[in-house]
Amino acid sequence: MKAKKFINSMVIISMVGMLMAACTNSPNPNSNSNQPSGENSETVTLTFGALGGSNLMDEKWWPDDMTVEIEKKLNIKLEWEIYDMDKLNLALAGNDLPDMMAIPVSYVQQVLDSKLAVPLDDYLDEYGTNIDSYTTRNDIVRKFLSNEDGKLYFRTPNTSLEGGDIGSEGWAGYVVRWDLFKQLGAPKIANDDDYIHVLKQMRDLQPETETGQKVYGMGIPGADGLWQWNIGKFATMGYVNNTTWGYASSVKDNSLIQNYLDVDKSPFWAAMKLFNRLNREGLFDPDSFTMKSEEMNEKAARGQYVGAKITWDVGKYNEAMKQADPNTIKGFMAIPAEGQYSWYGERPIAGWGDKEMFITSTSKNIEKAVQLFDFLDSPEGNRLHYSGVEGKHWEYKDGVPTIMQSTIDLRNSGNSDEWSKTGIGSMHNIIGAGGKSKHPDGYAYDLFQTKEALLATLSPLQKDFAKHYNVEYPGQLQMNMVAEGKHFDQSSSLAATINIGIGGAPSDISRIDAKMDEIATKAIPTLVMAKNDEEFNAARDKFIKDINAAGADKAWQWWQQQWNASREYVMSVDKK
Amino acid sequence: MFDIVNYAFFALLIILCLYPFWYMLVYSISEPSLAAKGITLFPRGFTLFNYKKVMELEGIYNAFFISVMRTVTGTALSVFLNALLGYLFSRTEMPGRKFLYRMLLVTMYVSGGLIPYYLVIKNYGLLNNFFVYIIPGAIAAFNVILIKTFIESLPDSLQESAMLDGAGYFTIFSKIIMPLCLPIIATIAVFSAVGNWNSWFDNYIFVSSDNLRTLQLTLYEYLNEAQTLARLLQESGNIEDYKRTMEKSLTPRGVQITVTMITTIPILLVYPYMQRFFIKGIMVGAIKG
Amino acid sequence: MAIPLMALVFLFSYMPLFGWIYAFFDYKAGIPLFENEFVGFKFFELIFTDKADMIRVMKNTLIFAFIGLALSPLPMIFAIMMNEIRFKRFKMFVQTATTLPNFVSWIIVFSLTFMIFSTEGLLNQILFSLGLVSNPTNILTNGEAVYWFQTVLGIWKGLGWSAIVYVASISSIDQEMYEAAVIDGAGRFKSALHITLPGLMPTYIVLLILGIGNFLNVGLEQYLVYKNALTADNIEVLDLYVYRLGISNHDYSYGVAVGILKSVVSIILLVIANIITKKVRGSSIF
Repeated sequence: MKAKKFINSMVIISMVGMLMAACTNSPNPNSNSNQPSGENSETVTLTFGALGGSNLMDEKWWPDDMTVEIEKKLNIKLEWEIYDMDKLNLALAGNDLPDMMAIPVSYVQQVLDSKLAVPLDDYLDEYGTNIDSYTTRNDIVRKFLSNEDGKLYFRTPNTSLEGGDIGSEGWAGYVVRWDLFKQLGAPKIANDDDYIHVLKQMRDLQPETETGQKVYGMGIPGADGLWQWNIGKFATMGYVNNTTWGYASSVKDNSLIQNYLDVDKSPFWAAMKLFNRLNREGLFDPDSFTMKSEEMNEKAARGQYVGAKITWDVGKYNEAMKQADPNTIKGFMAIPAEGQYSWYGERPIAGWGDKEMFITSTSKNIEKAVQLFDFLDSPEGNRLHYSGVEGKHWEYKDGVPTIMQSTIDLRNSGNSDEWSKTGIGSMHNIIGAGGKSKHPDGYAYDLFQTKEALLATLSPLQKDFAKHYNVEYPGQLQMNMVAEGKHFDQSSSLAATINIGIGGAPSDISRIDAKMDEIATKAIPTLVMAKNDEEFNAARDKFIKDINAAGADKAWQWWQQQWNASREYVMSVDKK
Repeated sequence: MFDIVNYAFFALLIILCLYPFWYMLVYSISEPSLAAKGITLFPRGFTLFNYKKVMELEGIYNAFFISVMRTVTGTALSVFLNALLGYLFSRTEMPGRKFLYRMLLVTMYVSGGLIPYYLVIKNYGLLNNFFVYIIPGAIAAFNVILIKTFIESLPDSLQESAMLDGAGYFTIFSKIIMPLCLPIIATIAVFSAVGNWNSWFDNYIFVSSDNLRTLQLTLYEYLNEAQTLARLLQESGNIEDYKRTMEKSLTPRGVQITVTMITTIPILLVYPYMQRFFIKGIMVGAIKG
Repeated sequence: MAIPLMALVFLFSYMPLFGWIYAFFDYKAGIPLFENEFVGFKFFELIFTDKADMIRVMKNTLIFAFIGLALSPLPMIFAIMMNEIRFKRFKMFVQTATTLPNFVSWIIVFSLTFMIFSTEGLLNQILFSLGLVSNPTNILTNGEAVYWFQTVLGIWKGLGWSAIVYVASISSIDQEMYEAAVIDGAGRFKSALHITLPGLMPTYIVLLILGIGNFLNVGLEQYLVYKNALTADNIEVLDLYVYRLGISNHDYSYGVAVGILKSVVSIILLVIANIITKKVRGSSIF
């Protein structure tokens, strides 16, 4: 009987405990204020948790040169923990958050409501002067991400008041197998018609791989999701995406359109038309509907494609060819067309809004965490991230900060393990500024983006391409065209910032959005595989009917309203 | 005739079941660059590169040790508790038997959801605790039911004669029931062992300490890397993330397959020993006589 | 003696049920429960709002469930057939070999099937070189074939494993009965039919009833891996549907509401199945 009693009381105790946990698990922000402030003399371990796209940090190389520097400078040992939605929910519910977190904007409201984010304002004077110096970003963050109390709870990475450069080459455009394209005499590609024609000719030059597999014009790792079907046309037509694919915002004037319903303008429909025509020509890989990028990578590496929607789809081919022959010019390059867009130059004036970083009120080392945030916003931290350690990876030559030859050699050598160990570029999801932003020494943080450094890192393929088009490096082709007004970059786009203002959609809206995405996912094969125009049009009409039935109107009203309000504010801040 | 059909059927089945394993074995020892070109029956080149790569993973030996520990202790505990409970439920004279048995049965079909489960585990102090691997799942209704059903199919006369000899419940349980139940006990031991060995979710959710990391979580992360990234990208919408994800070298297929081999081989080594018990048991007749 | 054991069950299976209350709030993790908006039965109603989707998903779930039900004797039959293998080493070997697929995770199974069945896969190469097809077929994109293809995959992966219980049960059958049957002149087939099969029946019935309780839980992982745009309509079962909605909507409470409904349905089915068994066989399982 005793045992029974014991169990009874245990049950009651745990029941009570649980109810208390369920009812009162709001953290008490005051409970931490008595903690001794982190002394600079002892090393503190801070854990950084990240959800969503933020979690692409390559922790497996730690400690790398970056984390070693941080430990040396700040006495902070950084640990990185990956969260998915389940785990984040548990951590939130159980109050088991790490010291710092990065979350997408859709979770911001939840974090604010549960008072889990520390307002940084009290710490800025003492520890956060660099944080404070990002005034535009902080303005927008205070306005949109504060439950309207005007405090600064979040910081975002990669803030840049001026647009970045394209880098050594562009990734969007009409992607072709350069060696074959050259054999054809590198004809001009002005539109999809020309492109299809070129793909066909290239395929005919090489109808089979060396091992006898069939070669296609292009393939899509379609099972990876909608973005794989959309992104190519988004990029070249000058639209920017959101987290749902139902809407597209124009780079030109930051207006929003309905991606699924605006048949004439939208990138979705342009993509569907292109893939459908490729399919009718027998140029489209029929496995596109089942492939995930893993399968696609294997096929690409085998050389089964002569084109692609974007260059990264087939990057594995370039790698494989380069491995077999370092001097090869076999590989894919993007050809920019007149009147189209390239994806570069956007100005994230309030940083990347899908990665809001905050310090958790349960952290025992809030001051230290603020110091880390501050360092990531500081000129020193930014240069460290983009260009490496001074004296080891870059140095001042006659007052000009320059990447050292050994660093360039290392990056070119293809020894990815050793390169990864430098950690250069690895903190892109938490670093404060964009690479083109200027260090107080007057030069950009990213020293690899100087023309000299770019030229030094070109592959034989890129050199060949540049030579053909009479430019110094491939990216210059787009830049020159933009300067001539024949091609466009994204410098007028403020979409990333406007999206911060929109925040997460309420659940009835996001349910509609999710439904539309699902309808689109299912409709794609029918559209792409339509045998003739009648079939395509019939499938299109049915699709539009389904989308409307899903409540597209209601969601569109919400989005338009939110978008316009946010756009107005962001544009006014931008003008300042 | 019956034999011929039967043997032919099983021969075919064996091919169907073994080929994927053969394929994985061959793939794992082929030159990675050649393997990507496609493999059917024989290895292309020969290398232990993949195995070396896996063996070099940080903490892999400790993870192996933890996995073995949880499998051994988890199985032992689970078999003992389930067998005991199954036996108790087979005794008609047990007070409240029907009610408790139904209570147990219901647990197979209800769940409070992840968050409350987490809070419960947290309140019991089991977060980051080795015991979270073996205690919460120790009693599985399914296993108890199997054992109870098995015991009930045994002739009653056995127990009755033991009762007449004046043996207590526990003596009957350990001296008569357990030996008679060897086949079913071996079965639930295998279920429980494989379940323990293969489980990663409790590790993922409840244990963040690297010292307590299991082999299966490592395997899971390698296998699902691409899927996890794809899912997370939905949340992001950030083109830089897409780009970096696509450019990032995912774990090569060869390494994925090798990890699968490495986690399966221990099962294959132990399994045949357990098999003897399914087939033999102790002949019912032997005890009766 | 059963009390401490049941206490364990209570602690880990019943305590978490307090979470059912979340279904009645618009619960956002991190915010204390009672500060979330109380929404009553909103999430339960939501489940039935999307009628077209719900009907489709239930149809798929029921199809898979009924196929599963119809094939439920397979492991038992398989075990009996295995038992008829006289050569003992071969029997052991068969038994080990057929459990192997159970250990291959669905992701790997998917890449194996992709290798075999995709447009350029092994199967098409063979068919093509034999001149049997001119256009490659790809079963992975065949929406109509979903039901039987997924069933076949499921059987391949699980048959040997599910047979273990029956293999064990066979050993509990009194050997004297076989000996008596031989004396009576019964062949092996007859013995199997009249002794082994009835001997396995109690186990089969128990598993069948438990399975009926799990009618709506047809699984997730397999279907998740094989879902693509072309199979989506037919492969999306209840669990997969809820999983998808959960990811895109962050509705924790919705998932709880579905869970509660499923539990209720399960238990009702279980009770009905048990009552029927009692009527038909004269004994119930609980």
